[in-house]
Amino acid sequence: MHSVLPPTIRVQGNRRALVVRIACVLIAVASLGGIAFSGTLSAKADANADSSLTVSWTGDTGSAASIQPTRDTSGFEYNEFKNIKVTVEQTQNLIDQAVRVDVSGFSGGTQSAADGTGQIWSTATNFVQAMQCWGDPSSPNFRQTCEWGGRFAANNGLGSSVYGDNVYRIAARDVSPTADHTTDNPFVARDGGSFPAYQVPDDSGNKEYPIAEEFGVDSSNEQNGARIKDDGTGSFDFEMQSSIQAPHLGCGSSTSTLKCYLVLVPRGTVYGGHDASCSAIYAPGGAPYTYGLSPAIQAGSPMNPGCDYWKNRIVVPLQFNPVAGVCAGGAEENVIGSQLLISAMASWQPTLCTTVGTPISFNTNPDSVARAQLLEGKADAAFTSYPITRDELQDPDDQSAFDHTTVAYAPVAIGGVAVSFLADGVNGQIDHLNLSPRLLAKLLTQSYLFELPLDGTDQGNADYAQLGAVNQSYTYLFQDPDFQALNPNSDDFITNPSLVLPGPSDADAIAQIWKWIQSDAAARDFLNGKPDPWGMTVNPNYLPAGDPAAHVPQFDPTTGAKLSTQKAVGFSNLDGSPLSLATAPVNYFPKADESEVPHVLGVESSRYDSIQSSPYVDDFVKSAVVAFRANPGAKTGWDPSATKPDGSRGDWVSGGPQIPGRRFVIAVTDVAATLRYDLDSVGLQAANGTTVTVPTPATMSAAISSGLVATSNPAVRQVDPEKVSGDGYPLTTVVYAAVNLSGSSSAARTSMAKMLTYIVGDGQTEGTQVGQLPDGYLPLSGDLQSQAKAAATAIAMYTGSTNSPDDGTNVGGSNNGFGDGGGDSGSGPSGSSSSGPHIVSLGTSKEGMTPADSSTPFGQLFLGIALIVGLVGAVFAPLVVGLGRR
Amino acid sequence: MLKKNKLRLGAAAVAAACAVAMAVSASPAFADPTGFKTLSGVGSDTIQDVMNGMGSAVPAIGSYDAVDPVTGVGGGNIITKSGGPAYVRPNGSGDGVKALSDSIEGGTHLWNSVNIAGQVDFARASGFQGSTGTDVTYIPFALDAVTYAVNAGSDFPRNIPLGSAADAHSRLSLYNIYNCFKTTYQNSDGDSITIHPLVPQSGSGTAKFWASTLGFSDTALPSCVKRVNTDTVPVTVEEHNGTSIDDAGDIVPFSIAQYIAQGNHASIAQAFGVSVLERRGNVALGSIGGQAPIRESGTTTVMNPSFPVTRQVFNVVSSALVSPAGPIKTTFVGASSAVCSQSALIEAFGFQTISNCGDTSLQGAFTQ
Repeated sequence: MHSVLPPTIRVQGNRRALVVRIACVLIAVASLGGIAFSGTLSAKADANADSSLTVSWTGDTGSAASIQPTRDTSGFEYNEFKNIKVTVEQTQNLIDQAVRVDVSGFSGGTQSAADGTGQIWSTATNFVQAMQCWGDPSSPNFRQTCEWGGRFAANNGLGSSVYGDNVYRIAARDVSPTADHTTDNPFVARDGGSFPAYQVPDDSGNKEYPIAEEFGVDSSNEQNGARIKDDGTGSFDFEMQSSIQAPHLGCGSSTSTLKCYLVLVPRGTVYGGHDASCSAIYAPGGAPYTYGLSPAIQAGSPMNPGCDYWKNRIVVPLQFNPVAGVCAGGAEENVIGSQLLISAMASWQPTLCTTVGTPISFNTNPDSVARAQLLEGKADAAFTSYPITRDELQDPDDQSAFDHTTVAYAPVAIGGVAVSFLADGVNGQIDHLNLSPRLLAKLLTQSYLFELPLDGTDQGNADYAQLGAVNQSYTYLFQDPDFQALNPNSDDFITNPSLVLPGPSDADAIAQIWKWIQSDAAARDFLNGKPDPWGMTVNPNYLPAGDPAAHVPQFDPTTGAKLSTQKAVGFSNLDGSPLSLATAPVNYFPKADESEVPHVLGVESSRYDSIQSSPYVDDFVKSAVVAFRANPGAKTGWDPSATKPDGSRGDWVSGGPQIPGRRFVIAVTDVAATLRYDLDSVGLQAANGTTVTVPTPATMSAAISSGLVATSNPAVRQVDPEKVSGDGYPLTTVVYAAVNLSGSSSAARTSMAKMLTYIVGDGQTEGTQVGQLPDGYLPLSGDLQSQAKAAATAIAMYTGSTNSPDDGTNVGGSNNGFGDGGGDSGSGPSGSSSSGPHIVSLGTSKEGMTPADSSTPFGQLFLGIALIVGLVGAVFAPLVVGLGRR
Repeated sequence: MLKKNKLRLGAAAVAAACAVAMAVSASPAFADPTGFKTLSGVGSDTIQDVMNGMGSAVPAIGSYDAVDPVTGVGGGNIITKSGGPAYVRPNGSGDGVKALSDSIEGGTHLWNSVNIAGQVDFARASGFQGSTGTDVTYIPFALDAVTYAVNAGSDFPRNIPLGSAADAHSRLSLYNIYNCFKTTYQNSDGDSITIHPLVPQSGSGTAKFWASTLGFSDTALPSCVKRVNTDTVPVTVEEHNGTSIDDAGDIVPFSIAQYIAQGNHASIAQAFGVSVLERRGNVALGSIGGQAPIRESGTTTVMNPSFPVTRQVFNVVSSALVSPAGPIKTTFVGASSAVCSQSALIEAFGFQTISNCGDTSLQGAFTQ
C-alpha cells in the first residue's frame, strides 16, 4: 500500500491540499544509536552532570593518575611534552556521540615538512592522535584492545596530512603478507577474535587485511592527527562509540562493560624509531632517520611496538551508558515515526523497559507513512508533527479507516530541525556561518555550480549552461555577495560545502524548513525564477513546469555532444499543472537536476548523477554523523577495477572522507544530533527579517511562545516559522505521539499510557543519564505538558469503541464492509461516539476544519484527544514493523 | 598594451615553431627501444628522457615514452615483449603504475581491455602514485624540482611565493592561483589579465605532485584549473611541453630537470645517442619565494640546489621481485645498482643525484 510511492508530486482533492511525496521506504530502518533495545537500569547512575576530566602528561594528581605511564625525564621528548594537559569534556554517561578534547602545553604548533621523496606532509610535527580502547590499561597488551589501523585503505581521507605509516599498527615493512611477522600487534576484539595487523593471503591468493572486518575508513573513530595551534593549544572532537557502533569495543554492551578508555598519543618533533621496525622514512638527501632526530616528521605508528611513541600516551577513563540488555521477553509494543525523536527515544527506551514492563520498539519512518500505518493498525503509536488528515491519505482503505478511527494526540518532545556545519578555514575550524531563507533555497535547489555533478573531463562551463552566467561566476559559495553580506567571515572559507540531506523520504520536520523558506519574500521570488539583487537565478530544474526559463541543455547520450534542442523541465502536479516550490507544501528534499556526467565518456562505461554526487542519508542522526566524519560518500571517482552490480568491470567509487584542513559539510539534521556530534549550528536569518538565531533553549522557547498555532486538528499545535518572533528559532518543532485508540487492544493502550506518562513526566528531566531528556530538546511545560499528561490519562481510561481483535470488541455496526466480519461480542462497551467521560467529540475530522472547530478554546481541548467519530473499520494487516532488537 | 602583447606573443609563436622544426630535423633515433629488452618500462613523461639515456647505458632497460616519440602526441599502441599484445601506450606516472599493476596481477585486471600480464617490468613515476599498501615498491634514483612556467612574452609575475591556506585570498601566491582565489594579475600597463591555471593530463605525476603541493584535488580540479588550454584551439596540456602556453595569463607546472634536459638536447644526443624533444616553446620558468629554478655552473645549466619544491623520481617494480636475485635487483635495487651507478647521466639530464638511490623502503598498493 505505502511500500513504494512514486517520486511524483500528487494532488489530493483540491489543489491547495496537495502533498509532495517521494518514494518512501515502508519502514525506515532503525537508525544509528537510537533504536537498540535496552536493558534495565537497576538504579540511576549517580553521575556528576559535569564529568569532564583533565589529565596532565606528567605529575598528574587526578582520578586517572594511577593509569598514566611513568615518564622518563631523560627522554628526548620529555621537555617538549612535560607541560601537556588534556581535558576530555565528558567522560561519563557516554553514548554514540562526539566529545570535545582540549589540549594545551605543546611547545609549538603543527608544522608541515617534506620528506626525502619530496612529498609534503601537512601534519608533520606537533599534533595529537587518539583512539578508543577497551582493555586493562595496566596490561602490557592494552594497545591490542585499541581501535587503530582502520584507515589502511585507498582513499582513506588522510591525503598527505600525517606520514603514511601512521595508519598501521606495525611498521610498513611488516604489513605485507610475505613479511616476517615477528612483531605483530593484533587487534583483540571484546566480542571475540584476534585480528593480525598485517595482510594475509586469502583462498585465491589476494591480499586481505583482517582488521577491515572489524572497522574501516567509514567506521573507525581513530583520530590520526589533530592539529595544534602556534600557542601550543588545540582541540578536536572525538567520536565515542558505544557497542551499537563498535561491538568489537563493546563499550556499554552490558552493565559489566561500561568502562572503556580514550588514549591520546602526543606527537612532537622527535623521531622515536631506531630502525625500519618503526619506519622507513628518510630525510631529504636520502639519509635514514635516526633515533632522537629533531625536528623530524612524525613517522611511525603511535602504537607500533617498534617505535617508542606509545610510552607517551595519556589514558582517560570513560564510562558509557548501557546500550543493550534484556527487557523481559514477551510481546513488544511498536512505535514508529518521526526521526526528530531518535536521540530522545535512545535515552528513554532502557527506562521504558521497566516502567512500561513491555519492550518498546521504535522505528523511524516518514511521519506521513507513520500516520497511515497507525490507521492500519501496524503500530501502537506514531510520533508525528502534524495530525492525520483524510486528504493526505493515499489509500481508499486508509481514508475509510480514518472515518472510523479514534486517535489521541499527546505532545512528547520539543525538538528542532537544524542546519549544521563543519568547516575548516584559513584560521582553523570556522564556528560561524549564517544562512538566510534565500541562501538555503539556493543550496537546496542546486543553484551553485559546485552542487552539480561536475566531471573534470568535461571542459568549460558551457557544459553546465543550465545555470545562469552569474551562478557560473561563483567558483565558491563564499564568492556569492549574498553569502558575503550575511557572513562577515566569508574570507575565512577555503572550499565549497558538501550538502548532506536526509532523504529521499519525507518528514514533517523537513516541511518545517520549506515553510520557513516559503515565508520569506526574497526566497519566494528566487524560487519563482526572479534573479537575486546580484543576478543569480534558480536552477531551472526547480522552476514550475511551463515557466519560460524552465529548460536545460541536452547532450547526446552516446557521443556526449551538446544538442541544439533544449529539454523542458520543472515541477508539476499530477494533473500537469505547474507546481511552485515557493508556495506548494513540500516535505522532502528533491534532487531535481538530472545532469549526468561526464558528458563525453572516456574510459568510463557509465555516468553519474546528482544523487550519486550528493547522496542522501537515512535520517537526521546519520546526517550529523556524516557531517562529523566529513564523509559524504559522493561516488565520483572512476575505478576501473570496481565491479558494477551487473558484474561488469569499472564503477564510480567514493573518494573517501574529506581531507583534514579542507573539510566543509553543511548538513540538515536535528538539534539533538547536532549537539551529540558537536557540530556548529548555522545561524538562520528570520524570514523577512534581519535577526539571526541558532537553536538554544532560549530561542526554542521563544519560538514556542510566539509561533505555536493550531493545525487543522486543534489538538495538534505546531510552530509556524512565519509567526516566530525575531528572537525565536524558526525551525523549532513539536512532536506528538498519536495513539490509535479504537484500533488497539486495551493492553496496548495501557502500555502506551504508561510510556507517555513516563515520557512527559520524568522523561522531560534534562540530562545525559539513561531515561533523561538529552540535550537538544526543550522540556515540555505549561499547556503542552498539561495536554500531554491529560492525554496519557485519557488513553489509559479509554473505553470507546475498538476493533481490536485481541480485545474481541469488534463492535456492532461494522456494516461498512471493511471489518473482518467478525461479530464477536466483546467485553468492551459498544461503540458510541462519545462514550468516554473525558473525550471531547470533535466531529469527523476533515482537512480544513470549520471555523467553529479551529476556534474551539484550547482549554476544552487539552485532554489532547481528537475523537474521530465513526464506526469501526480499520483493516488489520500483518504487523510489518521491523523490530529494533539487535 | 594589447598591441605590445600581440607582438610579443607573435614572436613567441614563431620561436615555438622553430623549436619544433629543429627538434624534428635533429632526431636521428627514435626514443622507444629498438627490439625488445629484458625490462620494459612505461609511464612518466618527466623521466622518460633520462630513462632513455639509461637504456643506452644499461642494456637491460627498454623504456617506452609517455607520448608517441614520432608524433609527440599521446595514445597509440605499443608492444613491449616479443610476441606480446599491442596495448595503449601509458601516458604519465599514474598510467605507468596502473599498467604495471595490471601486468603483475593479470587475469581480470585488464589495461584498456587488454590482458597485459607480464608485459611491464617497471613503471617510471615522478612521485608516489598509489595509496597505502605493499604490492609495489617505489625505488628512487634522482631528485627533480618543479616550478611554474609562464609565457615568456607576458608580464606574468616571475617570483611568486608558494603560499598556503592561511593566506588572504587576495594575495598573489601559487596556492591562491591554483585554488581559484586569485584570478587576475595586473600587467605593466595596469590592465587586469585573467589567470589561466593549467595542469597536465590526468594520470600525470607532475599534476598530482603540483596538486598535493598546493593543496587542491587532482581528481576534482578547482573550476578555474584546466587540463585543456582553450585560449585559441583546445590543446590538452602535456607534461613539460610549453608549446601550448600561448596566452599572457597561462601558467603551468614544469619540471626543472626536463627544462634543463630539453635545453641540453644537442649535447645529450652527442653524449648518449638519445634524442630529447625540445618542446619548451616560449616559456619562462618562475622563481618561488625568491629562489631561482636554475643556475649557470660554468658552461652548463643546473638545477638550483636550494630550490624549495623538489621531489624524488622513481622506478616502480613488483615488491615480490625486489629481493630475489634477478634483473630487477641488479638494475634498480641498492646504491650500486646499474641505474644508481649512472651519476653523470642523471646530472646531464638535469636531475640531482641522491644518497638513497636504490632504496626499497617505499611501498604502495596496486592502482587500477
